[in-house]
Amino acid sequence: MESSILASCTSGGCGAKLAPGVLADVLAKIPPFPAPGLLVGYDASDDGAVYALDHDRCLVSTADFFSPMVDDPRTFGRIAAANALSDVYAMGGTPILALNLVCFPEKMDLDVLAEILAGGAEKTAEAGAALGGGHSIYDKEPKYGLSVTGLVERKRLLRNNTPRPGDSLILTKPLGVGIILAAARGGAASGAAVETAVACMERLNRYAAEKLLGYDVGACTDITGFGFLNHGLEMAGNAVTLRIFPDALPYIPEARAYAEEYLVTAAGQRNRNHAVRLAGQVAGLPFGLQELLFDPQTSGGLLISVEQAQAASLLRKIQADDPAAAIIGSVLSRKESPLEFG
Amino acid sequence: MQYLDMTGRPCPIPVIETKKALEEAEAVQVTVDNLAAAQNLEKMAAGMGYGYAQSEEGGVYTVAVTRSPNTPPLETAPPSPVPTADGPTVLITSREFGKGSDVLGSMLMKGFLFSLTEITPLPAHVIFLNGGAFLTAEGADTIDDLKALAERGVEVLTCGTCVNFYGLQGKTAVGTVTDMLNITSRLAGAERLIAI
Repeated sequence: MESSILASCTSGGCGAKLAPGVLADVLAKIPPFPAPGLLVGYDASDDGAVYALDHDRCLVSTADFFSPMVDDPRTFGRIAAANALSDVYAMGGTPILALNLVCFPEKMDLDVLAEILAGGAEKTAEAGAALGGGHSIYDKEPKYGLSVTGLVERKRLLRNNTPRPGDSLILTKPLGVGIILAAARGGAASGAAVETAVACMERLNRYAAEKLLGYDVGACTDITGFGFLNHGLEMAGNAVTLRIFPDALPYIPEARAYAEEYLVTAAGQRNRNHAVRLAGQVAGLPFGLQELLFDPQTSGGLLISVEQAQAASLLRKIQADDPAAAIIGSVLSRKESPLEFG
Repeated sequence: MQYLDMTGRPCPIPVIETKKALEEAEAVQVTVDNLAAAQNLEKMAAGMGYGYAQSEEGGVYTVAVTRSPNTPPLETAPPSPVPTADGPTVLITSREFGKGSDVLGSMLMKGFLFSLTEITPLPAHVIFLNGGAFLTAEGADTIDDLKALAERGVEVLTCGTCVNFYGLQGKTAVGTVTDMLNITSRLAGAERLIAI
């Protein structure tokens, strides 16, 4: 069954997120919620909200949805679900319950919706979580995602902005899916490149996350719509400097080639605008690599800050199931810039 | 200078179309509706050694890219040619378009009358007969499109006998009510006639 769900879509996938600064400005106007149980709230810009259930366990709660970035509805469902589930893994948690979030045009064939939901159900089941229902409304273009609830042991909770100087940084998925989808929009991407990008986006971060058990992990986040560099800046915060090894960054090769032909997204440029403080350092890198640093990732990999002596061992474990994973940098004591290349 | 309207087109389409246009033309002027799109064009121009200029008004960015590296001048785009109302004569003899389902026929008629506003040249005359008289009567969902035609010089005529027969006197909301002699003259003199 062929249907183009892309036809009416503006900007699909994580390219559709509100720009990082825009959201921050809006959230700053909401008074904070002083609840003792709320360990992680929206003022922290972490991957999910965390609420303490008791002394040992916490609830993780997150939601993600967007309009299609691929033509096939089932693939779209899988990717959207994988993307939503990822935030729970990024906090060290295990997803247990998911709810569908659906927007769908009144006049579109309902078989398309069935396929989207089937894709979402597949990934939810693969994550070992239960799909409990959801909410749907009519909209002029389809949108899909999940609200996900997970559990995490308090002592295993992973924040996104607590890397320690001396840690090594691991990235578990290659960059470049946004660029490949952009090129595909313009009819300029190879079938093989799109297949690689789709496989990457469908992949659950579960397998990499499970390898973290027993390792001394300082911080963890997942790379999504703000691009690698902005998520890196979030991780560095005000506390440390991340040194990124540009030649070690994993990426889908065609993505770099397409970037060199300027086949990039508007969201990527917005990400670049947000990271203007790093413009000087970024300018020293080859152009294609620069664009990969800002490329919005849909359902991207985990960025893990781990005790340096354990990094090689953790990497080998992760690579068993996610072969593109690589050590891509290290954490230093805070210098003038939150991020440098070296 | 080639002109490209890339408003509403997602990146990287503006870049792709601009690169294509520069294969033929020395200079291309592109309109986009967001800053990131203009910046992506600027990156492309810088990387390819092209000239680049940009201006913005009311959220619309006009970007000029030239094959030579000098800064190109920005021109105001030439106005789109105003279509003249000297096209076909259109005769509409029922409320619905075609036979089969009336519901479908109504939808088709609405679509057809809308599309008359988009053809170049515009119709010279649109004449409503028999059931077609309802389409020019107040309350019809076709009035807006017919008014748009009338404003641009299209003659919209409704048959008087039909208006009277259906009790629509005083209710014709667009164009004029006329008699069969006038209608027949228009039909006879038409170079091209579309009869629905």
